[in-house]
Amino acid sequence: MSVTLERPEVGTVAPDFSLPDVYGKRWTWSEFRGKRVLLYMWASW
Amino acid sequence: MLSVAMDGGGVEQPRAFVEQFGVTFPTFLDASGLLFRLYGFSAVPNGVYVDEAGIIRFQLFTGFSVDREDVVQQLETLLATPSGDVPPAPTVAQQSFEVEVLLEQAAANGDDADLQLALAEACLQESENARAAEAFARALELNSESANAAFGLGTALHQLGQTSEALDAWGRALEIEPDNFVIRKQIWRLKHPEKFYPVVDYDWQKVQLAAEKAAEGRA
Repeated sequence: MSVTLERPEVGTVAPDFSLPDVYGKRWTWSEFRGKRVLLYMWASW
Repeated sequence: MLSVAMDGGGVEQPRAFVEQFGVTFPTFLDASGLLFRLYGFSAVPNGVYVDEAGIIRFQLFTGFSVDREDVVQQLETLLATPSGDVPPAPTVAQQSFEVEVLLEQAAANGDDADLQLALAEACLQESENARAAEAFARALELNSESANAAFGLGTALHQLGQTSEALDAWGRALEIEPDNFVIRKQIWRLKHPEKFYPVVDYDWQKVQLAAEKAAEGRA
């Protein structure tokens, strides 16, 4: 059974979140407001 | 430029990549798969371009690459657009990401699956793995179709050294989202580490995927 994934659309506000970096420092998405950001999602495998 | 590693297996491998390639921008670690929930994707690599006002201007899921000319062209066009005045931030309720605040909120709203999930993610990020596992389990109980909750539960259990329980939880996540390649690979990494270290065996992955899809009756 699969659920429909909701994806934010172009033209809408990017969702806020908080994540640590690979050195353990915590960041919040809203810190980058005022800057142009390319968010790249990947995995090591 | 920001990057997010969707790795539930620990920080070592993504950090090794960052150091090997001398990456100068922040690289986040999303061990609970929270971006699955926020961005609704089932594979990587993905790219999302956001302007000064926090508005999404371009996104490409699965197959994002700066080696693709069409991608580069679209990004260059966006980057060449002059900045306008940044409009005020839309008024949305300020979300907290602090464990202590979320604990109080979750206690006061015991049936709110999203709050449990937010609490669990915050705990996982603070390496409070037992508390994270508990909150992910509660979130999954409240919303049995949350792949994010099941995936996060698996990651927390994996961190706690409970391998078979972790595999059960990741297996549940994959049942919820059978096409989620990130979840499937996480299971493979735990079951077949020799196919991932020291070199990732992509040919093996193709054969394995075909075999599993056939077994799942989805070939």
